Amino acid sequence: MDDTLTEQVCLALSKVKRIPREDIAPENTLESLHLDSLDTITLMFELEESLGVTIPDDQVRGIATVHDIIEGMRRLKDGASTGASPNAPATAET
Amino acid sequence: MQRRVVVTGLGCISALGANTREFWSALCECRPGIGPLHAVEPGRLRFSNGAEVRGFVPAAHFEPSRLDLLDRFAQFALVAARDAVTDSGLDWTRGLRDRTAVICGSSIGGQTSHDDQFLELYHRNRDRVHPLTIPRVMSNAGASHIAIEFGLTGPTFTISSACSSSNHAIGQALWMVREGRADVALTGGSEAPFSYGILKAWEAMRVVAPDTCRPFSRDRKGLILGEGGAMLVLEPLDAARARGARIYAELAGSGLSADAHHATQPHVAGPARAMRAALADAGLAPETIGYINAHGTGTLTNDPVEARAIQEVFGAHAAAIPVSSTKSLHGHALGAAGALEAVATVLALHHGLLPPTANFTASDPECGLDVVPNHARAVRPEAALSNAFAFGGLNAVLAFRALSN
Repeated sequence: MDDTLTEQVCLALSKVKRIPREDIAPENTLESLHLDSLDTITLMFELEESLGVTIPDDQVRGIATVHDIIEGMRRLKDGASTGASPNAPATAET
Repeated sequence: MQRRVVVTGLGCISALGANTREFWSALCECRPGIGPLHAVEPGRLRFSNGAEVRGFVPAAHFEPSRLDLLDRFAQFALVAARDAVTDSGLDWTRGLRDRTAVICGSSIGGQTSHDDQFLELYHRNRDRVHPLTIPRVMSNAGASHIAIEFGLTGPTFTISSACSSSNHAIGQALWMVREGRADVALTGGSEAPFSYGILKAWEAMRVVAPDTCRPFSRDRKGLILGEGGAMLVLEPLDAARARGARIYAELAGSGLSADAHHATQPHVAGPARAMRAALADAGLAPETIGYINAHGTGTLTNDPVEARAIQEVFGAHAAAIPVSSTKSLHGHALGAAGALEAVATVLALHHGLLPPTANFTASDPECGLDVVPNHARAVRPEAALSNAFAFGGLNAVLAFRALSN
């Protein structure tokens, strides 16, 4: 597990939901964190800004847990570092 | 005083054409006006398609000195109003001009002018903006310029309620004419949302389809933005008959509600209450409704929620009601959407032909409606609804009844 990426995702969630970082763990579902559709698109905006990635709409659908987001970001960053297009459709999460 | 109110003039400009005739032909022949966006250079947006008004040359419609005052959204309002007034054959006397209302809808007003002028300040570091920026940007510019052009001096204003703006405007106009507060109303809406800033804001919402608009289809991916304007001429039935006007249909009722639920999530209860209110205002039994022009944005969440609302209101009869979303053809024109769809609904009743839901591929079990897929259908409904449900949870439904000379 890339601890830095986990930390960045959890901090972004903490900022969007205005809840303490320590209340967020990878195994949490987005439902348990009370993330609604506007929170989700705001989180994607925060992650794109902080990680320098472009998250395709397709990838947002099907995300269920914090872990899903972390893994999705890892794939996007890996794809970016190997030169793959950040706009390429990503596999749906979960 | 309670007067029956009828539609005697129609006008529109949209991605489907420069006038009402072209609009109706494209609807009936299921020819969508959706294609690659020209307003923004390729590669600057994550989506690439829109329903733009193509081939529109402002100078062909307006003197240069007048254009200085007209944002694209106000140009669309005026072009549609001219079309509707000519179509109505109205001959205004001074007294009638004093008693004509102009009630328009627009969600974002002169946003293109806003973008252009503020770019000069923020990006090009200039020290001033054009002195006509404020009158171009104001959301009431469309209504005001219609009043100025035709010398109309009755109640005139603009309603802004996002994607319900036009339906709120038309409903208000209905009530004013019905109650005798105006003897004619010119009402509808216009929108021109293809500024780079607004397109980027929609991109960030993640609700715009990368391909096309497929309302109620299982593989729908979102909405397609549109632009344009549409206007209706409303007058009392007795006055229309007395002057021998062509009557397209009766605007029988309007129903409004708020979800009081969420800024953007669609909701079943609010739209259901608006549909019931429109039926009650019109004095129509649910069984008389033989067509619904749906809000039908083609987003993942709107369509099943709207289907459930229709099923809740109409019960077993819901399965017998053809429901189409013409946004699949003219795009989602935001504050103008209700006006374009009102024209489509009125013409459906007038001609006995229901416009289809275009781009339909496969049924979604979550949207269990008869959606008139891909082909217009010859049916003569007794009455029809046109739905508009806005971000912010504001719902406005119009009820029309078939009526002719």
